[in-house]
Amino acid sequence: MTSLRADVVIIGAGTTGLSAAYELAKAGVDVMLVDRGFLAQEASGRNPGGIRQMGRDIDEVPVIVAAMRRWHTLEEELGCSIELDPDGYLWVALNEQELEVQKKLVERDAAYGIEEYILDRDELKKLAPAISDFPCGALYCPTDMMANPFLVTKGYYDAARRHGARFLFGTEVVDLRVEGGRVCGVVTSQGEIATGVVIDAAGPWSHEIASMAGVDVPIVPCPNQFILCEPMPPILPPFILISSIAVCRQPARPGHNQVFIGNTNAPGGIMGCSKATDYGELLRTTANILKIVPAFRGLNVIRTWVGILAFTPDDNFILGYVEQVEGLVLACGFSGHGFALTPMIGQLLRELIVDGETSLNMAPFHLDRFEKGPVEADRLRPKELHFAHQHVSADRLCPTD
Amino acid sequence: MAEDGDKIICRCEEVTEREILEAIDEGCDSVTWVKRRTRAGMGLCQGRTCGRLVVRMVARQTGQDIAEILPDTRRPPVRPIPLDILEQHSEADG
Repeated sequence: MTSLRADVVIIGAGTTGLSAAYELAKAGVDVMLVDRGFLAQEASGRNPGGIRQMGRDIDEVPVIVAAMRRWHTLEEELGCSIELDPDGYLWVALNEQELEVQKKLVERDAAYGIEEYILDRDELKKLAPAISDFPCGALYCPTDMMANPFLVTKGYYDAARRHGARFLFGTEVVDLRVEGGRVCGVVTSQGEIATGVVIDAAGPWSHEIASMAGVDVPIVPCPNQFILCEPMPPILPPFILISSIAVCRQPARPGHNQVFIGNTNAPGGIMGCSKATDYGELLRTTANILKIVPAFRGLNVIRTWVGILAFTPDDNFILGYVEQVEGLVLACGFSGHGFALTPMIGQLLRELIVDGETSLNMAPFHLDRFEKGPVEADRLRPKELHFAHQHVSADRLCPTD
Repeated sequence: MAEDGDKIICRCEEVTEREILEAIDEGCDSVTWVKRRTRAGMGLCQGRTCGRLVVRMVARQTGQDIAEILPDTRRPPVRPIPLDILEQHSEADG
């Protein structure tokens, strides 16, 4: 039985854990990252790589604004390409209520310097003629971006290693050792790692990990279906197209013009950790996206896969030390919109652990926001101006007038 | 005649032998990671053509036993299906 030691043990080799490993190692912390698989085995290796400022909860806005600044210099910092494409996001409004929400978002986000525009039906038609008459308008953010999640992951991993971070792959965490109310070790399939600080960045399995220390973390896992189609000459601008019912992108990069489609899902829809392709969702998502971009009809599907999202009751992530057990830090529950925050999450974790205080207000992201009772129904409802993945079935699509 | 290294291994994504060997040297010691790093196997044939070649290259470069090297995950559809077939089925199911 090997016995190891580290100042900080990170559980989970997704973009959250990897950016934390890099930031901490760079700050001189002796950090070890453990994952039962390899790099980006889960959501971080299955997502479309979207980086959007639009449609965020108000508490997240300062985080994404800070993250954007870091994304722009990340390639230089990590010393590798991440295929950063500043192609923008287009969120089509399927009815007038959605358009009203989008208008409020533009007004709200202006104070944060986020460049967003409302497009009416004519302006939308001009920007993207391939989009049908179904949407009544759209929210367009030209400064939103995309990056390649595999390159981001590998970039952080290589940089973390250069700074001395250690990695244990193919290693399952089986228990957390807690003594006198404080974490003192991580028990794994390859032996125990003595440590005083554990970062739980285990995505949908963060709940399982935290429960090893007797901490209850309210994560609801939901599968997200993805469809990859063969390439065709680009008919849409290269933005990521989103609506409350599907996600779609056709990269402009020569040789990369494959059409990518994803469904939307959330608690209340299909839940759990199954990675099986769900044919009902496939059919529904196909019908939905073809209502918005009919010209994709006839394209061949060449692959499908599934990534598991980790939702919290208010669709905002959880970050910070837990009250109940000293030394246990949560960094999870990104509810399907965590990739874009990656550079800041690592930074915030480093600030929290090394400096003892964060450069941004993390109070809205504390675990204890779910425990403080009596809980106002308000705080647990997905916030009004939040593009949380809404599970909308095809028959709820109302024709616009 | 292609120079050594410029040989195309993944025809769908036009990934060369050199790119794949570089990826393996950088630490991509599995078919899945070579795919993620180079796009080999992400194209139209989904690795049916290059998969076996990549397995052999990984084995040779890393010294792993070829029998131990897993191919990339197989996912549906078994062969390409047009989106409009799926659309028709979704209407049929109501």
